[in-house]
Amino acid sequence: MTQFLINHFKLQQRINIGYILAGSVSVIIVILAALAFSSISNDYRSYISSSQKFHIDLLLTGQITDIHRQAMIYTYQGHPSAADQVMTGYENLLKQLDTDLQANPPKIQAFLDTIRPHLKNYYAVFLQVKKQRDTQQYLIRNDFRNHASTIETLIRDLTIQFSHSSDVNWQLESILNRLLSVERNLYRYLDILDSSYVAAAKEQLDEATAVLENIGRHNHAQQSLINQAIDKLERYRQSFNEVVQRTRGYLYLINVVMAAEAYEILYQSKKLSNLITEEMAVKERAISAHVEEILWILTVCCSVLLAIMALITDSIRRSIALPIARLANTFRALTGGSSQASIPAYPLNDEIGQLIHAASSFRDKNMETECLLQESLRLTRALESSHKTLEHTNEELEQVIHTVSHDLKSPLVTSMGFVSIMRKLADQGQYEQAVSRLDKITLSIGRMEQLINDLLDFSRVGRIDLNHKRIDMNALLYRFAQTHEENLNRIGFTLRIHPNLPVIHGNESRILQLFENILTNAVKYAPNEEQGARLEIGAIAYYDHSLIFCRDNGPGIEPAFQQKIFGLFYRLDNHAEGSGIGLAIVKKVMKIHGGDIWVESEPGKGACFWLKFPRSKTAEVS
Amino acid sequence: MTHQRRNLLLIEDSYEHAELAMFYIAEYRQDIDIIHLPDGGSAMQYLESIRNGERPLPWLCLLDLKLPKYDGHEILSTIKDDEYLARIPVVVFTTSAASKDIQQAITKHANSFITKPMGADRYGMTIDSILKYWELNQHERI
Repeated sequence: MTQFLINHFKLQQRINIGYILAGSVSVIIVILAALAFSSISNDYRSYISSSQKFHIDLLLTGQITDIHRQAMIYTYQGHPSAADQVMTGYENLLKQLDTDLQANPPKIQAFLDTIRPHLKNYYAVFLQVKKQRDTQQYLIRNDFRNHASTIETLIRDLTIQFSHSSDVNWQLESILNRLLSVERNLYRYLDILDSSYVAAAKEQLDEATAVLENIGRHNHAQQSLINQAIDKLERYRQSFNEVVQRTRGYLYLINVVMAAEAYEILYQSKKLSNLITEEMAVKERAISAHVEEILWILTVCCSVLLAIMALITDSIRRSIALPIARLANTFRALTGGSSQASIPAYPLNDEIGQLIHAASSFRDKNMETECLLQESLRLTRALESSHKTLEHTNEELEQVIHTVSHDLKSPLVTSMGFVSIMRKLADQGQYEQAVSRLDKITLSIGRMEQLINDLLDFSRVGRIDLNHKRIDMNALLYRFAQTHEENLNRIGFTLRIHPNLPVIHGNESRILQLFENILTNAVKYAPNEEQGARLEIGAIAYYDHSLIFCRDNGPGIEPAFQQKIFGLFYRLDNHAEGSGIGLAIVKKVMKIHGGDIWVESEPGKGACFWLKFPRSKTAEVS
Repeated sequence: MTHQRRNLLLIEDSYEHAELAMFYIAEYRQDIDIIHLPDGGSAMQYLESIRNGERPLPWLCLLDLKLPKYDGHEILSTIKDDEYLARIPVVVFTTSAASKDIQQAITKHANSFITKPMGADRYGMTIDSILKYWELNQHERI
């Protein structure tokens, strides 16, 4: 994927793609969440609607209770409005049951079906109660009242009949009082429903009947009237009994039958309520399970989407960050001045590609800088070396001046000193002595001339003989030997030239001078003649140098003086001829040929001068 | 002035200069014996014999710097680095007037550094002055 991205899209586009993909994932997550929440809210709504069934249950219970209360009020108090309310409540309830019957599921419907006949029965009983009560009221207001007043009238008639007998009158009066008491007891009974009042009333009725019968037994004249009164009293008792009977009847109906129906309804509604509660619990469990499921799915979806997003982000990051990180390393190396920094391969010309291009320009620049630096280093080294050469030359020059001033002053001191002596001797009249000193002055000046000539010769080395050419040492030394053969033979000195000498690059006359000086020294310090003085010249190849040796069998040189002998005007023996310039010139000649000279020697064992020439490009041992 | 004869060590490679010195010393001081050593090698040998007690310590040493074999500086070092020889008063008497030579000699405890004069009569006067100065000096009593 990373490779695909890198190959097909520029950096900007890659970032945009990343944004778009991330946005899409977010949108998908939002949509999923919305779907989940709408599903949950549907469940919730259905839960709420099922909770309305509770309402039915509560309605039932409440209304039944209310109806029953109104019925009781009506029964005991006799308010007609209460009866009306019972009727309205019944009708309303019935109507609601009918509507609910249509709306509810079969289970609830079954309950409602059970409830309805009970309700209807309840109402039928209520109507019966009402009827009984109406009858009772009628009895009280009409029959009972009429009988009472009829008896009262008969008793009043009897009172008139028995006006002469106060005893009978008193008895009749007591009957009236008893009748009043009966009436009062009836009303009390109706009010309180205490059956003791009924018993009391019955007793008083019995007593009234007994009193009347007693009067009838003693007064036959009035027998018919009395019998009439007894008969009326009997009727009164009957109507009283009927009222009581009716009252008990409807009380039974309301308290037993209606209450039973009401309890039945309440019981059913209680069962319904339990059922609904159970159903709700089931539903609730289902909803919570559903919610959990949805949330789980949502979580899984979100996780998967986030993982996808992370993958996309990672691949974009790789496609951007990795090349940039590599580039950063490259730039770090480049800023360190490296010209070898590896530049990551990147085939595209996007923003990173441009950076890579910049890095490679940077590297080119670094390379240039490095070249310049090396060039400058080279120049610095050259400058240093020339500075050293200059310093060396200066030192040498100083040495030369120092030596020269000393050695040139010496003959002057001698001359002046002897002039002074001569003057002194002349003053003393010793003219011959004085003149004999003149030789010293002449010698001294001659020596000074030699010194100056030697010095000029020394200074010429390397100054006027700059033309170097290829020199075959074999040919050169052959000629050299031939030139000196006669003189050397005369003094018995052997010069031996070895074969296979190298070819060098140099100034011929100076090289020749070099060998002459060495030969001169060898001859000068030659040992006693019976041993036969000699000088051998040969060569060996040594790495990239040609080493030429000049070995004599002279007295040798102590190690302490082996360096000094190459110094200007240095002599080991002030009896020997010469100014001490020879080896100084030899050393200078070697130096201008880029070579070197040194001596290997032990006192009494001869000396060997080694000449080191750098091997010429064309130089081959021929 | 002492009645004993004095030894003067003259280390000088130039026979002419040695002759001049000897001429003037003989002229001014008859009690001085001059020992002329013409090169560094013989000078070293002579100093060795002094150290061995074969020869007495000289009264004064006139030392030239430019010498065959060992040069004056080396001889000065040999004298001044040796506890016994260091007592020898050394007057460096040379044609050189180079500051390098002077500095080197003084550092090595040369007792004096005198450049050989070039004027007509000055060589003798200088020799005389050196002798007079070292006669005033109590150096020998060390």
